[in-house]
Amino acid sequence: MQDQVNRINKGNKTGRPIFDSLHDWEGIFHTITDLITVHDKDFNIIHANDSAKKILGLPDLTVNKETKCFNYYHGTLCPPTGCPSCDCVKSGIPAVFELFEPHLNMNVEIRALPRFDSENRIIGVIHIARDITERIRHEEQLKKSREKLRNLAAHLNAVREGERRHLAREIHDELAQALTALKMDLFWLNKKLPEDQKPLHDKAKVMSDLIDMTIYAVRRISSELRPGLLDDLGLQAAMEWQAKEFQNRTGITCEVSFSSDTINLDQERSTTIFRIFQETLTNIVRYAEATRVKASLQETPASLILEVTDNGIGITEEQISDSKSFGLIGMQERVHLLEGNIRISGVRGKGTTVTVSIPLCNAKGISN
Amino acid sequence: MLRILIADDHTVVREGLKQILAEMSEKVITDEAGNGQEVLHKVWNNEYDIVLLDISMPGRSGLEILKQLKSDKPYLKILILSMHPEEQYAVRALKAGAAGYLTKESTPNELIGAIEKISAGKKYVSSSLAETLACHLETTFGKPLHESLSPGDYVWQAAS
Repeated sequence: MQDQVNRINKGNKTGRPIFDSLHDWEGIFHTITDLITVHDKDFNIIHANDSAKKILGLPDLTVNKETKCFNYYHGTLCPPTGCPSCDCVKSGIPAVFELFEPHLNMNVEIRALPRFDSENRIIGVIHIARDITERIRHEEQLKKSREKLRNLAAHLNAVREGERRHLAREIHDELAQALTALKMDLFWLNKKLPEDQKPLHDKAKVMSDLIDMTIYAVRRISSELRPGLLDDLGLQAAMEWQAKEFQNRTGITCEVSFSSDTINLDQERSTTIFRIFQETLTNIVRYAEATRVKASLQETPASLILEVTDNGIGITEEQISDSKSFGLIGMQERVHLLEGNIRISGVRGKGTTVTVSIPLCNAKGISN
Repeated sequence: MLRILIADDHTVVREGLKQILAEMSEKVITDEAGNGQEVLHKVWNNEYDIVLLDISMPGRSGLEILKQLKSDKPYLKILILSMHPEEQYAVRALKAGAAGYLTKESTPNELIGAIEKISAGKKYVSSSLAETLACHLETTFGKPLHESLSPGDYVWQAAS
């Protein structure tokens, strides 16, 4: 390198600028941690920066003229087949690619740039190899950790759903049935009371009313956990009930329609669609300022499509992508688990539409 | 004599119902079944006029049992006794051939009224439920009431 500088400086009157520039260039070249090698068209490495020299274990390039790149990069005696850098020497088109190089025990990202002489003939390549082993390792870790989180979320969801189902049923069956029996006994007792004992009859009436209220509360708690309809009668009945319940509670008109009278689904899909429907309704009450909701459930041969549209203010892109929108994230996770798709779109001032599509046959080969 | 089979998985409920029916008339004979299988077995081997059927018993769903009973003995009158006030249950039960639908917290007088109507060959739903059902059929199926009902299926008698 110093020879070149001396040569150039001889023919240069001012001298300093070119010297400085080459000096700078050389400084940069050797400081860069990427492996940079300059090759002639016969695959010989003619220049290399410090990093390349050290990692490839290159000999003194001014003395040794037979320094085949494949020898040092791949540990082979000829260029590997399909090497994009070799193609670059032939085609003159730059190449960028990634690979794991066992010889260096390294994941590398390689950029090969063709070199041309003054008559535009290819005279070799500039070969820049970046060690991306860490990046690849982090990517793999991230992927694994995401997968773990997803599995954990799915597991927690399944456990929660199972617990809710169990609790709802226990509460409903055990408590409500016992209260019913209590009411019947009270009725019987009331009939046995002497007719002229008004205070006793009044008391019995108060007790009976209290039992009714308690039955009502038990039912409410139970169906908030998980409506028995979903397990007893299926998704359609549960959605009809939920729509009516929502309408009564919020005053927002809610209509549901179904493509057929009998959509038979497994519990997993029923639960997913039902919970997404519930979550969508919750979002509508909280944010949409809507007065009308239309929901439809369609069964096609391949998939099940839920669409919920409201006439509210319309969800914004920021709301959709907000990492704290746990409701939406939960919906996406539920759908992802069944290998389906969810699309949420809002038009300002017009409303929001949530479309969920779930395949009826998943990769595990379970169909309903 | 009115032969009634009480099908409920809760002993306390069966006891309560037996008591009420015993008070109702001396001409009532009751029998009990504690699960779906037992109901099917007893109905197959004995003659009853009315079955009081709990819609949610463990094992096979009440609706499935109802359908099985109707296919085994089409003329058997079945009154659904349910813990569920939601009309979705009632609609499906009536469609599956139940003669009536009553929630368990109805007063014993309503129960007696229902049994009398049904044994006289009529159908029964409580007046409040009848109203909801009419609205439900109209809004849910989006077609006139007479189209969603099969002939002679629903001659509803509102409770007096």
